[in-house]
Amino acid sequence: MRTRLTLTATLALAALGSAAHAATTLTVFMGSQQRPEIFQPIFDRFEKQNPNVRIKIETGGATSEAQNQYLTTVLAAKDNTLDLFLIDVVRTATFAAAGWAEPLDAYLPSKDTYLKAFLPGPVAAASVGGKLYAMPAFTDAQFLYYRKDLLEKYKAKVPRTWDELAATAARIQKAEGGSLQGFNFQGAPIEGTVCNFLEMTWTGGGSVNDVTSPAAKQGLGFLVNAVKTKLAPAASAEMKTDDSRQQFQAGNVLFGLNWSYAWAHFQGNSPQPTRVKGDVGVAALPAFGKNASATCTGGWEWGLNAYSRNKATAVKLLQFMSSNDVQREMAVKGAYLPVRKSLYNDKAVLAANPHFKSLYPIVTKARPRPVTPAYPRVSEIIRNNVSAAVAGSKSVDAALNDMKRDLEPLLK
Amino acid sequence: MTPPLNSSPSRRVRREPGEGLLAFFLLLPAAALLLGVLLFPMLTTFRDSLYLNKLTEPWLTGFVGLKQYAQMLGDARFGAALRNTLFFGVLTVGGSFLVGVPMALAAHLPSRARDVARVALLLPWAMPPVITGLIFAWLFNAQYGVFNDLLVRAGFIQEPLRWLSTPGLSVLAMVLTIVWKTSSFVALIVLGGLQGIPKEMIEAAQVDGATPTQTFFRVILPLLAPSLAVAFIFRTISAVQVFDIPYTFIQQAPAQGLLETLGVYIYRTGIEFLDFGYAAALSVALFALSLAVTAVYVRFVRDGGNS
Repeated sequence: MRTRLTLTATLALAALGSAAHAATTLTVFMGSQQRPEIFQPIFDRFEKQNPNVRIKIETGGATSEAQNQYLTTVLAAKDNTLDLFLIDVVRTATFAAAGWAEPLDAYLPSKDTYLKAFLPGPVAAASVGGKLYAMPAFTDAQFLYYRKDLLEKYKAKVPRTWDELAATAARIQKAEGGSLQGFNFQGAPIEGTVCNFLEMTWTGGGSVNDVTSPAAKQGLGFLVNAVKTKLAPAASAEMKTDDSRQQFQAGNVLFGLNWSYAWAHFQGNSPQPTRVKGDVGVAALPAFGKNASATCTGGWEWGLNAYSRNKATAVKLLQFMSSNDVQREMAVKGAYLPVRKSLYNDKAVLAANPHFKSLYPIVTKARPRPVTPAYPRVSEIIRNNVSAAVAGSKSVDAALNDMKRDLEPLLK
Repeated sequence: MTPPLNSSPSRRVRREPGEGLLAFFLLLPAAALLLGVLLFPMLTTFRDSLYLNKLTEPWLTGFVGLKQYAQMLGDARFGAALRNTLFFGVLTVGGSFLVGVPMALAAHLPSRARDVARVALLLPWAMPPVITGLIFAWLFNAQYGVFNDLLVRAGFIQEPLRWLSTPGLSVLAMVLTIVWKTSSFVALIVLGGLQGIPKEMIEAAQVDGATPTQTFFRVILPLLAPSLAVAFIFRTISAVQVFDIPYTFIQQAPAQGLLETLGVYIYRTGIEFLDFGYAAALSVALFALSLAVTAVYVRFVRDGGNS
């Protein structure tokens, strides 16, 4: 009995002792869709370099919304058990306004020089009022995917303008017959639809601050018209991002808008069979007339919990994660689009992802969606109206007028 | 409190002294638990509804009294959500009886279909509502959906219907889904009622020369009234609070204004727009609505007990 007591006491003391010496444990939250298995070896390396630090990954939520819901609950309770969290780029302003994300400026003495090597889009998306509220983790953008084989067969060029795209699509669709979709975009009430609308507006020279401008009308009008003229499928108002991906992959689409993840699926790294392997090209989105091409910034960023007790250590990890080495490893092993410019010319990266070279000029033109704490509301207003217009249950003018009425108080 | 249904003075057991105290202590854990998980959040929600607490504009804080209730009155979206909730309530409660009562009869009356009906009756009831919503949204899909395929094959339609992106159809699709999901609840309760009807009554009716239709409407239905009433009230309460299926449908369909129920609006206001104060006020409104329905239930049970 006595021995057991002593033993227990010794063990308890030992535990206390080791706790005092140990290590800061950083808890990092991410969703299962961000593939923690890619991050684990990188964190292991950081632990080796910093013997005093332990990193624990906490995962939860399969979608951006589910993860956000979890973080909202935890952070609204001022929880300090999470140190870092991976968030969707559209959440920056909300997390900043709520006081959940610690501004990183104070931890990065030469911030401007440091960020110069980064792509401008992800940095803009992570900034609110000149302050950096998150560290870009990896980026994404919407691209124009096209069928090389079909363009070759009909001696057509990759379109530079939306009118060219419509003409080429109509011509090839007619010649091919069957169920080939000339143009595929997202029209369901989802985030991809918000991006599609913004891109159509931006590439016509418009902006979200004036959604009843001729540019916005032209942009939404193009999408609605694509459905009316049967260039795009009749059920485009129900099209979600992954539906678009699957239909392109099944060989049913000539031109499609989608994010970078679709590429790997098209090349055969996918649960569904691919019929377009080797026949897919990626290009910048077309524009209207002589306007410049533009696209939506996607991707994820690291937020530092404002209630964390290990901020300095956590920032060290952030800098490690956005270092050249780690960004390269993530690109090579996980095909994540790097946030550092130089890596789009990097041998190892291009050996693993040859198409990154053609993506570079596109991601440099990527623009953030409106950076506002009310983004969830802004997004809802845009996606519902765009979707309704694409469905034909609202006219283009009515959809844009409703959008303007509801957005105005939010985007002042 | 409501006395138990079958209590009458003659059946009451004489109390031993100290029994009351014992009962008190035996009830205490359950009562404490209920207070903790029901009463406490109710009170905090009411308190929250009196304060501004909008995380996207964290500088707006403080006690505002009933201001957020006043805001509700001028909120067109709240009005629409309330109308939608009541509209769906009428359609889905009615629909679940139209389907549920025949289902209960099929599961009760001796026939070859009985075993099948009993299994079919449990399946929708056991299915989690969110899964139901996702499955049905997929079945209603314009391009891959099974329903369109069947309708086209049967020759009812030429072109696939855009169930989810046509406003009227999306409402119909959602009502059908909720009816499918909730009919079995009605059927289970009614089946219980049916099994409580003594066989002699029905045999007596038949001996007296009643046709099956007469037997159903003159004998079975009146005897079922209590079960029907209980099913009706429970269905109404859950219809007022409906959230899961509309929430899954609303993510697929552009006709948002038509599909948003009060439950969904509260979720969006709180969890998506981070306006906890207003979401709390909306929750109190939903609570009041549920309470009104529950009051009818309590009165029914009490009157049932007295008669």
